[in-house]
Amino acid sequence: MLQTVALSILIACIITASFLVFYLVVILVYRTLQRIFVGRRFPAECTKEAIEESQELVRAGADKAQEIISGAQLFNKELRRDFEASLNQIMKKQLGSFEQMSRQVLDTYKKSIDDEKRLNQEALLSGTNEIKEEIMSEIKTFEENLHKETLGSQEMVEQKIKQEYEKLEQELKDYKEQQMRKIDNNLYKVLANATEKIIEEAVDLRDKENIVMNCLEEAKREGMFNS
Amino acid sequence: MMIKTAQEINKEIENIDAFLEHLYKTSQGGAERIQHSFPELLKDLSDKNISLKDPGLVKDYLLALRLKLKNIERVQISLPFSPSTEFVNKVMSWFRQAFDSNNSVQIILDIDVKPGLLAGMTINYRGKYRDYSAKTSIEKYFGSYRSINELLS
Repeated sequence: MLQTVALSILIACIITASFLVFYLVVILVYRTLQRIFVGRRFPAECTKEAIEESQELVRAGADKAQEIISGAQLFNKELRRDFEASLNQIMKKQLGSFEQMSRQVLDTYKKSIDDEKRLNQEALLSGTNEIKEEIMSEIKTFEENLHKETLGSQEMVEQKIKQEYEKLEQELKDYKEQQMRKIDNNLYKVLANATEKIIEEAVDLRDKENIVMNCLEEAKREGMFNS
Repeated sequence: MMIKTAQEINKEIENIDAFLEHLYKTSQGGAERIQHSFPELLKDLSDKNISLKDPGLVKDYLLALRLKLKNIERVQISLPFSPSTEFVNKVMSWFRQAFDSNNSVQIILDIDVKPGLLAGMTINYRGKYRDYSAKTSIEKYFGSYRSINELLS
């Protein structure tokens, strides 16, 4: 009876130790995965590595438990078989849980990768649109500036042509007036000469004397001889 | 009113100069020449009771007369024709009538000929100048138009 109680206590200790070992293994796996994710390594590689490391750690834990169990001389064969079966069952269960958890982690990671990818694509698309808008804006500005420059040059050329035209027009006008003045002066001379000839021939001496007397009267009327 | 032509005045001044030249040449027949050549001046001297025996006095009188003649106011008239004596007398007559109210006036009628005037005359008296010539009238007439077109319109 005493023997049975001692055996039960021993088994309970072993199971407790096994759980502790398993707990440590899970913590180690979690930290390893966390380190891998934080490092942002390639997901498939990371997951595989994490699983391998976890399995290694579980195996190491199982080996350690097996070693501890083998070391216990108090086990009888039957008890030992039951214990090993229980242990295998626990291991299977734990491995299944671990596998499920790894899958969840992997899914979460995939999801985060997909989200990030989607965000990156959106950001890239948004950035592309921004760049496109910026380029279009710059092209538009350039077109406007070019248009302004072209218009400015055109206006400058038009202004220059206008000035030259006005200058030429004024010169032509001046030249025309000058020539007209020359013609008029020549015509005046011709007319004056003709008039003089007519007067010389038409006015005789007596008329000239009368004109002089009339001029004297006019001078007198104008006060020429007033003191 | 005393009115003479510039030619008359110039002749008088020439006579005075000639008289003065012979005044001191009594040994060379100057006295005889004076007696023959300057009857008007001699009459004038006689009227003034100036004797030829006092040449100094004669000289002073003639020089004063010369200066007076040169300083008589002139009416300068330019005519387009050479005036006949008859016409000059007519003009002088007109001046006598024009200045009839003032007998103290003495003027010299200085006439010259400028055919270019065509007709009419120019007159200058006491700095006042008038141009009544046909030449200037024609020039003014044509000059008042800015162009031949304006003249013809």
